[in-house]
Amino acid sequence: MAGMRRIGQRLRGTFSWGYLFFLYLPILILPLFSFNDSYYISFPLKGFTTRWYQELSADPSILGALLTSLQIACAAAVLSTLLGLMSARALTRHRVRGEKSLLGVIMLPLVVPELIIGVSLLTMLNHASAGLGKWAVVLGHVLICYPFSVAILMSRMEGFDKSLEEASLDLGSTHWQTFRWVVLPLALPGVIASVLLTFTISFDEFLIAFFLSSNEPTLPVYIWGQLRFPKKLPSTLALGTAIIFVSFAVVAFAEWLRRRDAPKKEASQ
Amino acid sequence: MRKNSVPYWLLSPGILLVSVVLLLPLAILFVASFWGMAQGGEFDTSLTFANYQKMLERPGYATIFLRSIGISSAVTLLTIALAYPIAYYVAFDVRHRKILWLVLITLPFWTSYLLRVFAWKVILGWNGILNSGLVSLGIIDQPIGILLYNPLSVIITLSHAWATFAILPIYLSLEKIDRNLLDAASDLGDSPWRSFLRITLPLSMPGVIAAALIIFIPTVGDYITPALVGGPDGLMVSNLIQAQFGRANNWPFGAALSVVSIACVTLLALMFTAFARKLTARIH
Amino acid sequence: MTTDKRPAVELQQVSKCFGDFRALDNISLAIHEAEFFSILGPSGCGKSTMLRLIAGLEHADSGKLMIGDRDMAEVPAYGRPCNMVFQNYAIFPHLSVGDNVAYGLRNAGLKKRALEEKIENMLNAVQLAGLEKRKPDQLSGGQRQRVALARALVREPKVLLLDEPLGALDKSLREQMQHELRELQQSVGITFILVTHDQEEALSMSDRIAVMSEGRILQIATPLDIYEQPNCSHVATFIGDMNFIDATTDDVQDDGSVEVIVPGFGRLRFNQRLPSERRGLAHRVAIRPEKLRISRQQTEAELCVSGLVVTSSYWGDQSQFQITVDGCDTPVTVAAHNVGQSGETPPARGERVWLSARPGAFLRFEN
Repeated sequence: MAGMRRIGQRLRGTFSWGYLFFLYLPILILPLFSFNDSYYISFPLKGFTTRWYQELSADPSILGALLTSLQIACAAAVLSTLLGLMSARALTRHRVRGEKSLLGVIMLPLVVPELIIGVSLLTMLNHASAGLGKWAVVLGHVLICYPFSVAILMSRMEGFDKSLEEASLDLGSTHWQTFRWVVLPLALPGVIASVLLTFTISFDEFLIAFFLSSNEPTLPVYIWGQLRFPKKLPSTLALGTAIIFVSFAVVAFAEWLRRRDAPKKEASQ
Repeated sequence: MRKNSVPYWLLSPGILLVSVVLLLPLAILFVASFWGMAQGGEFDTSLTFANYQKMLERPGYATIFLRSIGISSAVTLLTIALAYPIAYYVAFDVRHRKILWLVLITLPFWTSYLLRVFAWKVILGWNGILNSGLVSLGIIDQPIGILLYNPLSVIITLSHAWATFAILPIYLSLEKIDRNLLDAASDLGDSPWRSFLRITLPLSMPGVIAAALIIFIPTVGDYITPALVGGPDGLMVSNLIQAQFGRANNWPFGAALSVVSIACVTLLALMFTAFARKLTARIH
Repeated sequence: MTTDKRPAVELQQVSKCFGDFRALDNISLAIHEAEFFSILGPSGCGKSTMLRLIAGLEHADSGKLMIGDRDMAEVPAYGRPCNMVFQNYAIFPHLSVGDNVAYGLRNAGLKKRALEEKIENMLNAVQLAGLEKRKPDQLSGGQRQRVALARALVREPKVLLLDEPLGALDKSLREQMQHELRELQQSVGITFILVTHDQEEALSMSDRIAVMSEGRILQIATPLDIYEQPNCSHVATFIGDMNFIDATTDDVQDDGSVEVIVPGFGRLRFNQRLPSERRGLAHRVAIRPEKLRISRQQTEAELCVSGLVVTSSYWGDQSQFQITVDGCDTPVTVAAHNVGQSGETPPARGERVWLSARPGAFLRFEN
């Protein structure tokens, strides 16, 4: 019996490691070939080179797209986190009538395909004769980032001890001071995680930007355009590698922040 | 009184955002689906059913709708089948490094979707990594052509891209199961396999159902994957919609296609939830 | 005796409901300056609600709350001259001990030097000197409690509110802190209002105790009176142990005294009347277990009856017995301190013993 169980565990372990490899395979392929000295992305490898990266840094249009993406992602991250903070605060600290349906509305952008969000926003902005561009992309990105921000901040703020805020009021601080001095510092790891993760979502988003960015392409839209030219593939791989490594670092930091206090919280309760 | 209105003030900007940037545009999209195209690329805003009629009359559209739903169903099944064992492994077998596993599983999800799909195109192509690798290893003489540009490549790519969304909800529902129940079952004479079927599986159904919905709903409307690895046989409804807003420049018809696809997905999701609820009710 | 003291806190006909639940039901009460006042009752009796109401963390549905001579109706929690020690201490986890204590002084506009001095003095007073830089998660339960005390007292409140402050501590630490709290109150000389469900805590620390049940105050009195003269059977059962015996009024005399028939204990004479006193009134008499003396021989006491030991249990410092007195259906509990010589065996089950008591130790309650 115990032997059977051990075999099952071994099987599941092997499968899980294999699956993890499958998950990471495509992401690891990109850096491998971004250093390969050939226009063709195929085996056998030809030799080590950094020329694709040099090509990247020499291209001014990439820099422009990068700047656009950074601006949009910063705006979307800050705005969606701000909205998320307000909503999470309302839902965790106060008793709200119809909380479930409100949460349903908040999470709605998660289930609507980005294509539909893109074309419906395009239709509305066009109908209102409003121009497209960065700000339109920001609007769409705040929408898709907002539910993530709410979820991250709610999970952070759910366990908050209400008596800490009461103690602050009791010790002579106003509601606003209590928020500044008690609530915000305690929520800070969640806020930072939310800013980082929503930044990543916006930075990587393609479809909404594709429809709304007009003549100011974001980095993913720029990459999409490059995919048509076989000669550009290696430098696109290099760009993708750079993006993926930065995202990895940012996200790993955010996840670490978000989960850091979790065991401690359990122990003190 | 003032105190009670605070949460609503806090919530209103978020709700306003969803209303103005999602619900209102969807409503306009719905109205636009009854418009037509006038000469010179202008919209004809008189209401008509012509767009919907066109969809019914030409068989090609129904085929693409059915294919989209078929591909998404296959992706949902495959992803859950692959995700369940790893979720089970992390929930029951991993003891010390749970957080590391969870972070490792979530990490790929946060990287650029476009780049991940692009990577599959590079892997599966005629001159791609898989073919050239197999050729240079001498396993095959000729590149295999059926790897890319068909529904199968779409299914593989999508089930890779959505893996995290299947693993996490299933993991959460498995993690919630009281371990004493399993001890009780084995004490009462159930073999591990039987107690899995009678206890673990039914109790993890909420996670499986959530995973199914989270994967099925958005993949029907996925654009990047079929566009990059689908080829003509792997086209899905979203490619059709995009074309109407792009090359074909028939926005009202694109709007009608969007409305129908949203309606189909919502209907299927509701049917699935009702069916799943009945099924779990029978088990309990 | 207390008329010369001005009330520090006064509640006038205060009521508070949570939905259908009446947490406070028309409460009126005055707490004096420099008094150690305890509110004692089982959980859910409304005692914490009363404390939070005084702190300004809850608002009354009706009635009036005065602190000093100010009506608190329009004063928010952060403007009230009272501070609270919370049940779980509510120490700010992101601030050091020193910053926790300094928190309440942020708005006071003190100079850095004066602030530091104040905090140092306060930490000395609660025996936390040298721990300013510690983070709360490096503190023991007792130290956390002292931080909570220091944090509240450093604001020099008129009234200190304590919500079950010792509940989270283990027994020996709790006893030590009871003593320290009492000393602290006497040295700072302000009003302490303590909420507790622990009768020992209330009895040992307080000047006066209010016993609460279901949103009402049953009795307000000194610890001695609460224990010796409970005004109703609820208070009598909640504080300490009590034997109740069904009894009947036999005769009401002209001089105000009454004669009562108590099964097993005979005819007892009382000087006080019950409100609905009349001949034949069925009611209960009560006596505390330690007021009954157990002996193997009959004694000279005015009241001495014989009975059989039903159970006998040895608790170390004392022994407890259940005894059926001849002629009485309900067995009575008797507590005896083990002051006798070592090796002396207490009466065992089935043994015949004598119980003696002062007739004045009996109390009477209406049914």
